[in-house]
This record gives sequence, C-alpha cells and structure tokens, in this order.
Amino acid sequence: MAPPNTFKMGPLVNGVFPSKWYVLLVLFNMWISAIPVAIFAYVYIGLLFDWNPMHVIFMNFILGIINLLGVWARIVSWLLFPFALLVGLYIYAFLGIKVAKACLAIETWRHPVREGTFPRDFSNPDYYHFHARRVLKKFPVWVLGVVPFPWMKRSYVYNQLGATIGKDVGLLDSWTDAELVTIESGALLGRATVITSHAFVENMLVLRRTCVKKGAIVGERVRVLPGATIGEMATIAAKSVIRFGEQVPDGATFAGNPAEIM
Amino acid sequence: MSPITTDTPAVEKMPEGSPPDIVTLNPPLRATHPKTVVGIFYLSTMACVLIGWIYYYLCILLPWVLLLLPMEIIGIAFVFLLSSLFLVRIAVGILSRKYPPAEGTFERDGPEQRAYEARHFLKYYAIWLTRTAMFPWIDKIAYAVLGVHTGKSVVLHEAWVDTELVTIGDFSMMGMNSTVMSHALYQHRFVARKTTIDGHSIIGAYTVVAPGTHVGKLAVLGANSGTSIGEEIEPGFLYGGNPARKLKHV
Repeated sequence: MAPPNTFKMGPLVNGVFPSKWYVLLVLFNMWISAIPVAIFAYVYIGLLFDWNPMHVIFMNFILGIINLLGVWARIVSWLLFPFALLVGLYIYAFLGIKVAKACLAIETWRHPVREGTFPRDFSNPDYYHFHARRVLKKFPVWVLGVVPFPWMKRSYVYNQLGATIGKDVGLLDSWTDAELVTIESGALLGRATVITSHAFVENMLVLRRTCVKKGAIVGERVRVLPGATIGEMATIAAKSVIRFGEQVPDGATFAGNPAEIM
Repeated sequence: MSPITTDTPAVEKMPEGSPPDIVTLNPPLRATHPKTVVGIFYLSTMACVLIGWIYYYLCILLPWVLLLLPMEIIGIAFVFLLSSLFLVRIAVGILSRKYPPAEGTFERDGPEQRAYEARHFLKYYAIWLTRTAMFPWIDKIAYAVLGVHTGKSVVLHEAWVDTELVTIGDFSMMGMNSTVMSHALYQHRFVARKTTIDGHSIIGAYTVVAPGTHVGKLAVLGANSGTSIGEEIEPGFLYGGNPARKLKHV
C-alpha cells in the first residue's frame, strides 16, 4: 500500500524534459481532457439547480424532461452526486490516457522503441525519445494515482501506454516501467517491487525487454533489472536483486543480492 | 539467504494428500469487495453533501458565515475521511465474524487468505485516504480504529504497517518506506504471525520486518535490513544486514 507520500507510485517516469515543447504537449493534454469534464459538470450542475445560464438548447430539453418528472427526478439527481464525482474523475483520467496514447503514437512513429545500449546524451535519438515518452506518460498516471479506487490503475493504463500486462496482475504497490515490459496473467508483485526495462550504466542507457511469466511470485522490494525473465510459478524472495539478463527457470526459487537459486 | 526462507514454519494445516512442489496456477488474486468500497464512498460523500447543504443555508441566513469557507472545506475533508473510516470498520467487523484474524500457516488461496485479502482491500482504502489527506500522521487514528495497537508518539506515516496482528509500543519510529508485515505468501503457503515492536525501538529506512518478528525494547534495526520469519531482536542491540544480524549494543 499506500506508498508513503514521499514515494508515489506509477510507472517509473521522471521529469527530464528533452525539449521545452513537451511542456506544451503535457499542458495541451491537461486542457483537452478537461473540456469534456467541464461539459459534464455543466450538465450535472444544471440538473441539480435547474440552471442553464448559457441557454444551451439541449440542456433546456433535459431540464424540461426533469421538470415534467417532478421533484423525485431532482432528488435522484442529488442522490447520484458521488457517482457524478467519480464519472468526472474517470472521464479526465481516461481522456488523459487516450491523448497521451495518441502523442505516443506520433512519438514512436518519429522514432520506434528499440532495445539496445545507447549513449546518455540528448543528441542521441534513442535517449531523446526515451525521455520524451516518459514525459508524455507522467500526466495520466498521476491523475489515476489521485483516484481512491484501484481499477483503472491496474493493467489497463499500462497496456494503453505500451507495456503488456495480463489479467489479474496486482500492480498497485509496485513501480513498473511502462514499455518493453511483459507481465503475464496471475503474476503477483510485492510492495515497492521495481520492474525495470531501462537502466543507466556509466554513460550508457540500457533498454531491454523484461518478462514476468504466468503465476510467478515476486516478493517485496525485489529489483528486477532489464533483460531478466522470471519463469512460470517461480518465487523471488523479498529484497533480492535479479541481475541484467538473468533467466529464472520455471518453478525455481531465487533469493539474495545478487539473486541465486535456492 | 532470504528473510522468508531461512526459518519457514512447519505446515500445520494442508489439504488432503501431500502438496505438490509446484502448485498449478491457482485462482488468481483479485480485488475483493469493490462493491463495498463503492458503497462506503457513496455514503461518506453523501455525508459531505449534507454538510454542504447545511453550510449553504447558513450562508443564506447569516452572510458572515461565508468567511468560514476554508474551515468548511477542511471540515468536509475530515467528515469524508472519518465517515469512510468508521464505515470500513463496520464492514471489516462483519467480514471478520466468520474468519477472524488468526495466526498460523495456511494453504495458499484458502479461505483464510481470501478473508485476509477481503479485509485488507477495505482497510487499504481507509488508510490510503488518511495518508492522502493534508495531515498524513492522522493515520494512527485509522490504525487504532482498525485494530492495530500503536503506543504514544509513534511515527509510521512514511512506512507500511500491516493492519492486523501488529502491536507497536510507545515512542517507536518506522523509517521511510519500511514495511512491518504480519503475513507472507510462500509458494503454497500463507503465513500469518503476530509481529510485536516494543517501546522506544527504531526501524531503519527501507527495512522489511517479516511476520512473527519480535523487536525488543530500545532495539535498532539498521537501514535496508530484513528480518526472517519469527526472528527475535534482542532489546537494546543494533541489528543490520539481510538477514539481520546482531552488530553491537547501543
């Protein structure tokens, strides 16, 4: 749970802006996803207070129906208040994800996601677009972090943003990279577990695909480094470190730093 | 080697026949009782709507009440928090009537683990809310309501403490991102053991306290260390490493 307030969850995304134009892209995302929320709020507040200051014809039609139905329709619209809050929040988060996904599509069209080792320098296109993708993913994930329910935070958002996550994977308490990561169904990730597909080694950025297979248990605070594969029904004990490119066989138990077979 | 595997308790209760080494894919873990949480969210939001209406009519009657708007906003936040907390308490009380929190080693994905998950899902919501609020240290109230005994002046809002079978003495401090557990999943077993932290002890940053650990009075667990299941931390000593070893007297 509840990572403490100093340790917010989400895909590992940092705030390195490769170019100042990405600030504008993120602001555009916030703006465009807020417009439908504003329309929804206008309609709902209009229902609550019989209020239509902008004389929207569609709204007049709805209010006419509500007034025909009488006082019970108004009471019901008040009783739906908590759900309206949730609908607004989820519209915002959903559109934030979709807009970020569209931006990411353009980003990957400009430069595809590649595995490999690249110099840590913004003149290198792989490094530049790596940070660009991370910046675009930050906003929708942050919005979902504020919602008190775990639902969209699970596999949906990660699948939209570029990772491959199966069914019934509890991602809530872990930090997982949102690209080049495959987590199959039924895998359990412990609290504060870090599953990375990127690492900075000296002057290099390493990007490699990381895979957690069906039904594997990854304990608390395990650090899985890029390129590792954890086999089906394998167990990784708490606080162990899985090295670069480690292949954990199916059903094995690994522990320690660096992790070794038990 | 690892905090979990060094001292695995004997299996006391297993299904008929010897358990296979590698179990087949169990019914996966899923968030239980989401409907209950939505109901709790609904009721506590309606309590806030009620407070909002009262404030609205007070403002019409006495316009100077508008000056109290900041207090109204904070008040609504706390009404939301406290009502969610007490509703979660009631729901957990109903849930734990059949399977009360119990110590022992159980079959994985058995009824005990399912009941634990159901309770944990509800408690998680309440504690998440208190920690997202403007005063995260009020999560001690949440822990007290949900049945964890914490002593005087305990600091735990930067750590995760399991919500049952844990006792924490006076003046103890939990470091940032440390974890105090009372349950663990190990292959085909679900282990639940009582964890006790006596008074005046310090748990370092990024430390994992495994289920069944007893941390003595005035003991210090160093940063990034981990204890094993059922480990005894002697009072007044400094422990460090993974698994934790006695280093010196403090």
